[in-house]
Formats: sequence, C-alpha cells, structure tokens
Amino acid sequence: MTAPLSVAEPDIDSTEDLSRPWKVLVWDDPINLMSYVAFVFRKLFGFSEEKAHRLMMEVHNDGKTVVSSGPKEKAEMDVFRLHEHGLWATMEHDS
Amino acid sequence: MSDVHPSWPFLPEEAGVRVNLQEHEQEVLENLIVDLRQLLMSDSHDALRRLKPPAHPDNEEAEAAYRELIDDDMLRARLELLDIVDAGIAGATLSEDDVAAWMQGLNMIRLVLGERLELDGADLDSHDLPDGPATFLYEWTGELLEFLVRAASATGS
Repeated sequence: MTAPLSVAEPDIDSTEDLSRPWKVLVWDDPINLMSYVAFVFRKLFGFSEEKAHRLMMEVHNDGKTVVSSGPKEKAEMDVFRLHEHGLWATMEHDS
Repeated sequence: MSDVHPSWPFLPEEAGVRVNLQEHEQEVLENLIVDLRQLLMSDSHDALRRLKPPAHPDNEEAEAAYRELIDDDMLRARLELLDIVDAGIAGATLSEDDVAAWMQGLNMIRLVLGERLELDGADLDSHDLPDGPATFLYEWTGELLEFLVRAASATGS
C-alpha cells in the first residue's frame, strides 16, 4: 500500500458551484455608437436585427444587458470578442 | 439607403463596401492609425483604459487570470485589424471581414480620443464638447463609423 499522496485542495471558493453557468453582460459606454453596438450583437451572436436593437436599447436605457450565458470557457470567449470590438463586457455567475 | 451619394465615405456595392475617402481624409486616418499602433505597442494604461475594460470587475484574481489569458491575443488581433484598415484607406472594396476590421479600428480610435477628452455620459448628452482637434477627430471618426454601419447594412453583410 502506497503512502497517501498529499493532494493540494483546489483553490476555489467553497461557496462556488462550478456547475452554475456564467452570464455575459454588456454595459453602457456612452462613447460607443448605438448603431455599432447593435451591429456587433448581430455579428457576434447571430441575433436578428430586431433582437440586436432591443438589447442595444436595454444597454442604452438600463445601463446593461445580458447577451449570452453558458460554461466559463464560452463566457470568456464571448467577453474576449466583445472586448475585441471595444464593448464593455463582464462575466459573472448566473444567479 | 436607396439614395447613395457619391461623396459618402463608404459606398455599398455588390462586391462589398468601397472606401471613398478624400485624400486629406486618408492622410488624417493614416496618422490616427500610426498613433493608435504606437499606443497599443506601448501598452499605455491610461490612454487605453476604455479598450481594456475588466471582465471581472469585482474579482482581482479572476481578472488577472483573464488578462494573462487574452492580452497577447488581443494585442495581436488589434494590430492585425489596423493593418487591414491601413491597406484599404486609398480606396479598397472591403469584404465582410474587412468591414468588421474597419469598424473595430474606427471604434478603437474613438475610444482613445474619448478617453483623451475625458468624456462621460453627461458631456455627450449635453453635446458640450471642448473645441479643438481631438473633438473634431472624435466626431469625424464617429461619422465615418456611422456611415460604415449603414453601408454594411445596405450590402447585407
């Protein structure tokens, strides 16, 4: 019988549930043009013109909107692409 | 967009969007790109603040991991898209991907100029921008971007 290995505890918050999905939010930056933001939503997420416009208006009027959700890697990729397009995106655990 | 005016900076055509900048406009845009490329390479934190929004504003550790993961790729992607803009300034017909690169490039320039002008929502709502070259360039690149979005929508890209 081999000696028990010392296993490092994974460095995660014990309250964090890894199975919970992440959501990606886009926040209002007054510099970004409304038409451009709607265009980026359509391009990155394949939204219809109507949906892209609605979400863009939510950003404009409410200061933020949720554009996608899913596992961490997907959320990270979406945030990266939004940042690449100059939009102010963050990710957080879905409640 | 049935009435396309031949003086517009971007013209929707069957093959894509044609860049239609006047010579002096080409020169100004070239200079803006040179400036932006230098800023990106120097990684000047303050000037690029709006180009590097946090993905995890409330979690320093997660934010550091995100930066570590993406910073190099982001810089490379941004320099590449500036090359695409540079290559098209004199009057190229832009593919769908080129159009996206142009939009991102123009938007980056605006974000840097807006940061330099220290613009916030109240300034923009009141249209109370300071007189000067930075304001002129900020508004001009905004017009270009608006025209480009319209032209791209008209070609269905």
